Amino acid sequence: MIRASILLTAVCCAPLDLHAQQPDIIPDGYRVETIETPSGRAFGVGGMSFAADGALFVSTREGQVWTLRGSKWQLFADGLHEPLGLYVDPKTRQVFCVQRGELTELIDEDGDGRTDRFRTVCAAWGLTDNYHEYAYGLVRDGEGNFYGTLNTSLSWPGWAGSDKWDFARVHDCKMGRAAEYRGWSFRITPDGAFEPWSSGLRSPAGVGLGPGGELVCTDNQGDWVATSCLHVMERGDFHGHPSSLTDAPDYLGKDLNAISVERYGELRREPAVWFPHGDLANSPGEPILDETGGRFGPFSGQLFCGDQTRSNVFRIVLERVGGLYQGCAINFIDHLQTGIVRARFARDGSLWVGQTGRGWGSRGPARFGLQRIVWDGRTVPFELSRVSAAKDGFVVHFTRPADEERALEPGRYRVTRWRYKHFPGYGSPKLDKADVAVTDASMGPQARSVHLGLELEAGYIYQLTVDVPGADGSPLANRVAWYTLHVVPR
Amino acid sequence: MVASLTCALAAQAAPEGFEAVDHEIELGVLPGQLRFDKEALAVTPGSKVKLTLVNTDAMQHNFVLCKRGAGVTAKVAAATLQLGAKASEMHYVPELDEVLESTKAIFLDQRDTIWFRAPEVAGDYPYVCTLPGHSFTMKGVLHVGAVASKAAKVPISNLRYRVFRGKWSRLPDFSAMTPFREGDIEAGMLELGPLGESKNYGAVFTGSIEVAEAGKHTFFLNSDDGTRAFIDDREVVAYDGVHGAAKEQRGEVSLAAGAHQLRLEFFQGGGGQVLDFAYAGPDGKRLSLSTRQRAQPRVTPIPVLDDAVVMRVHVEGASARTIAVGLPGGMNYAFDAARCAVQFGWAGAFLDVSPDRDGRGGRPCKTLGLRFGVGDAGFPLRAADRSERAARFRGYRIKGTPTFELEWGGRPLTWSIAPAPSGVGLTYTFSFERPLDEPLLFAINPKGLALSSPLGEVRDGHLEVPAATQGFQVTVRNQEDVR
Repeated sequence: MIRASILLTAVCCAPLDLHAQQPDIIPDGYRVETIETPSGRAFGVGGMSFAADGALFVSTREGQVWTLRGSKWQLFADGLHEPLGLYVDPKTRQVFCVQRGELTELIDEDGDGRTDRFRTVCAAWGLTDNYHEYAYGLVRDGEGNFYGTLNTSLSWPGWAGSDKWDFARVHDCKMGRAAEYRGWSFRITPDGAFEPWSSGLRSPAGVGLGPGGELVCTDNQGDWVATSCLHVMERGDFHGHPSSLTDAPDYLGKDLNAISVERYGELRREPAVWFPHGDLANSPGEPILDETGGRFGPFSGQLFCGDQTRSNVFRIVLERVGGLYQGCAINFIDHLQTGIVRARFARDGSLWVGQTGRGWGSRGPARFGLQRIVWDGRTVPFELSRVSAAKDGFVVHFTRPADEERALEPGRYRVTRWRYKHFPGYGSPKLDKADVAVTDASMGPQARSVHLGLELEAGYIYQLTVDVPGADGSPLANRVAWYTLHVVPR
Repeated sequence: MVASLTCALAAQAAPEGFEAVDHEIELGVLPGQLRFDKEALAVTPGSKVKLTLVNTDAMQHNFVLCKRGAGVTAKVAAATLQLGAKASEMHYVPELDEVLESTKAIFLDQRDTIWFRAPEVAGDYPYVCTLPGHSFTMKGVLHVGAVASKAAKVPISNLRYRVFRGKWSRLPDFSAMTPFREGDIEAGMLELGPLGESKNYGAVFTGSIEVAEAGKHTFFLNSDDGTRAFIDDREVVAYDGVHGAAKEQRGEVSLAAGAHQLRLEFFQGGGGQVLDFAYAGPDGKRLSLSTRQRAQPRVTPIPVLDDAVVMRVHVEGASARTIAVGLPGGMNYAFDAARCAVQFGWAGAFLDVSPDRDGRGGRPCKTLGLRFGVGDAGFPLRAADRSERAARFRGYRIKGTPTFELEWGGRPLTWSIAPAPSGVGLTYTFSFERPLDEPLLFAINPKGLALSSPLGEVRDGHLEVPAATQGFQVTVRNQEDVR
């Protein structure tokens, strides 16, 4: 009896539910653990950041910030306006969050573990009570500048009450700009000055840094966004959703509807990588760079990203060809308990994913949650490490040696390509879809890569389905890679 | 929890002469909303009354019945504030002639019963909760006079409900449970509104229906979530389980003419809640036994207990950069961080955040009390020549009385806002980092306001703030604009 009660106590206090339902697809060597969130609280994760001492800070859509030390949650701040980005400075320990209307520093002046002072760092962007005006973040660079993104406002024609706002609707789009800098990314200097960074975003739900320090963000499929994607954002870029140009100095006073759809297509910087809708991601969240140096397995230097609808985690590998970013996306774990919007690596190399299922359908049934993905530190799964473009085809890289004989059979690779159009409609169909013949397959060093000979054409997405086992016979957990080809290498 | 319930439920003995009473009233509280669940009660003059206050709210409450007359409840509430340290042991009831009857001040899950004789003189007698700040919204009227006879023809006579709390996926055995609350529905129609609950609860309705013509009767039932209906303890139709009101169920039973006992069991998990019940006699004419009309909308109130609550949310009719503040004692206001101005105040409970939390959310929250104007004309400080200077919002502190940090014409200052010492209103305290090197003007729109300041007379909404001042106070009371 005593034994039983001790056991019960231990179970109640355990932060991790090791019996969490495991996903349909998960590479060998990885497991998923569910973290217990504060009891009795709605906990739609909006922002996550690990402090230098290992404590996890989480901001929630319900306006709170919690800290997790060991298995103990503590409320750090309350009363925030849907904070969808959080940054704990590793050097100064300052805590910053991006709320709907401002960037705020949360200060615990009396050291009791609760924020008592809310310092407004910058509130220079526009905000109305349109529910879609989210502000996402939060990235900080070496100079102390902050980066984030601002969602456009919902302006679906005919939507009840939408005439309350003044949207800059361009070619009858579904999302518009009802206030300043909606659809922009921003930089905020350490002293709080607001600098509009790039325009043309729609629903850019996650900001991050790429392997070369590039500022990147995801965007969600919808009007003017053919399918969800990853943007590289350089100052002055226009990413394709036009109503945000209302705030661009070059377009002041111009009639945005007088500019043709085709012209907007020419003006934009195309996304670096497309994520095919329905195949890989429908509403991607935060891209996070694996800087664990191999403690999360063989994908160091790649980006990981969760999806709010599909509730999966996938990988993105960027390469720069002819001055442009392009690359591949590959599914990783499919699917978790609910939609994923945030992802961060802990000091121990595990990947923590913050979840919210509220408001939009998520494949996972939970309303909110927090899970972490742990690599066992030994098992290298047999997976497609990445796909890179060559001048006469693609190179498929494996995480470990492939079955040499089978890897050299061209029939084991099925390649299909299509392209998307840039237009105000809600998502683009796959256009000019066609199979591409793989003419030859040749082995690279250590049976770790295969060169596929095929005809490449810039401007297409290539879907590569690989039916090759590892040298030890292990099957691939994820057999498909999608490569966005802007430039054919020379 | 169980212990305190048991303790609270321990029956209080009726005083001599009140073993039988004319009126038995159970008065509840709408959780988090600073409202009684009934705002009108009726008894006959000189009758014997048994009244039980049931507190299901996180805040402490009492019931104080007052004499008739203008301003009586305000006087009683104001006198309560003067009780000081004795307030708690006196149950927040001042010794005034205006107080006729009162209960104890009780906490969550407690109940207190009082027995009294209704006034002999007919008329409307106000009742309030006199906990600080509650009387603005937590009030009602006891009507003393002719009481409508219960004999009036209603679809279900003697309709009574019992409410149970719990989370189920199918109907439980309610007979083994203790109800959390019970009451009558005099209109004689099944209704979920009076239960005052929105999720994880169950209810048993009992009453009787009068069958005019013997023969086959059909009962129609649709619900969200599960239900089961019995006539004379025999199940006639059921729609158990967790579901939406997706498909009307029907059941047939042969009934003799005359009165039959109805019992309907219902439970609600989360989300929508619906109860539709009807029947048709041998003539096939359908008669509804339920109504949806008064169903209360879902409310997710944010309680304000010992500390102020400061929330940035969208609030109906307020700026998108609103900071909503609920002060202990039931005074609240909406600050606009964009213009650095108080937009309006409200007395009573704080905010219903369900529009922000349900579904996709992001919709404006509702204020739960009575709104009042505060003469918002933007940031209230002007240069002595009345010219405006840009005010910048810098942030706020929440320890003690919430205080906003601002910058005005390059001058750092703080603005803290507390409830007015009495009445409906707010007291502003402005503090400057350094003594003023020039005189200033405090200026708001004075319409409908009573303004006062220790610094001097506030004339036509203007107060002169002399040079060298480092801080000053202004109290803004609303005189007419409470709505």
